[in-house]
Amino acid sequence: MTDSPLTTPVVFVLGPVPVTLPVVVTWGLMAAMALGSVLATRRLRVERPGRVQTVLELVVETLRRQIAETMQADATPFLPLLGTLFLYLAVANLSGLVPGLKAPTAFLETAAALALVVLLASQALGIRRRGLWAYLKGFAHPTPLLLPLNILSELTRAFSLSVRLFGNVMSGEFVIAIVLSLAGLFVPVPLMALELLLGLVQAYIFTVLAAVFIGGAVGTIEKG
Amino acid sequence: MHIDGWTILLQAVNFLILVWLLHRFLYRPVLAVIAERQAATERVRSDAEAARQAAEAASRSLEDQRATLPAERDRLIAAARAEAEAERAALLDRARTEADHALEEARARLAEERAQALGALQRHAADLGTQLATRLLRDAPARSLTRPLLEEACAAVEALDASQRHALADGAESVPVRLAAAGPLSDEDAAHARDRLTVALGRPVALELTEDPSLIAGVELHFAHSVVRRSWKQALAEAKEEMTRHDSARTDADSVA
Repeated sequence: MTDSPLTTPVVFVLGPVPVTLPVVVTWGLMAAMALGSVLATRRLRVERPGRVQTVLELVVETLRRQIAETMQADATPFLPLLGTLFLYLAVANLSGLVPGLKAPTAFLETAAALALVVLLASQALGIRRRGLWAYLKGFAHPTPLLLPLNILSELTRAFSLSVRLFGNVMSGEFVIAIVLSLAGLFVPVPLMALELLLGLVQAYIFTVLAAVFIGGAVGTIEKG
Repeated sequence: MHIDGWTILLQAVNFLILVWLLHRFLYRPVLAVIAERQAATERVRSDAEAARQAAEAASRSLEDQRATLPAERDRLIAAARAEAEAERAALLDRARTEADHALEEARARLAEERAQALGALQRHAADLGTQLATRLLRDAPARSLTRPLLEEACAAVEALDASQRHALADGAESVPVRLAAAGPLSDEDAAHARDRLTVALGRPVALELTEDPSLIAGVELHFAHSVVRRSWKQALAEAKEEMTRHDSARTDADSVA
């Protein structure tokens, strides 16, 4: 681990497109998650569900309930976006604990991409739910003088999302790498356990903040 | 620090693809199963609710029926009482009718028996009276009465019209006549009677004299087919018959009354 944590290693170049490490790792995670979903949902039963089905239903139902409580609305339309956001962030954050892998979220591009998706999704959902004019009028609330500040607030919220996620995950991995290089094999284990917790916490925080932003955009909760 | 725009773009696309993949292979089937289970649960719950409502309705119905039981019982008791009263009245009417009928029959039978007894008593009284009169008259001076009664008998023959007298003669040349008297008849009286009869009948009369004490007093002229009676025996018999007929008519009138 001699590379700078702020650099994004390129795995291969596809024409003009450099395919970096977080992209490749994300592909792997996507494949694993999609394949796992296909396998886990092959034999769903209404009566007497198995353990895997029970866990799946528990996860999906918990996600839906959390999103509904956060957005104060029916969570089903937002479940694919926000649920996938949480699951991907959790899996991606924890993937950094696997030897030889580096969490995609430890790169600023991945965090920025997710924050960009949340930003664009909130704008699109807000316009679709409230109408273009009503949505744009929301930026001039309570007074048109605050229009620049509100627009800036939208951008900075997305920026803070990405930087928070990137900083926490990257710093955790960086600390573990430093301690591992200095103290030996078993000393970083407590730090890795802490990183496990932090990864889940960061996934939760990112998802809840995204739900708040989207809820504010569609008008189900007060815009923060 | 260098931020790769291609990586941002690729990661955003990757994330959107992952959203579609998980929506297709995770959320949709799991949510469908959950919805199906909730629907099944709702069906069971609604069935249970329907069963509960049906049970409540049945309970209410039973309660209503229980509430109407006293009224129904009173109605049945009243109907049974009315029926028993009607039956009792019918029995009483029938018994009264039968009793009246029996009473009428008894009265009729009693009246008939009384009439019979009264008739028998009257007949007995008449017989007794007749016997008493016969005994009393037997000791009377019957001889002195024979002649006038003989005169009456002859007068009765003389009073008949011609055809009747011819019928008494019966076409004979000498008319046989038996003269029965209560006591011995003198020759003079016999001759006098023969002469009057010969004159009345228009032909000779063969008079046969006999004595019959049962006549008490008086005579009887016995022709071939007829008898002319002028005796107390006949008078008493006619009186007895008249008295019996008169009493029977009066008894019948009393019975009718």
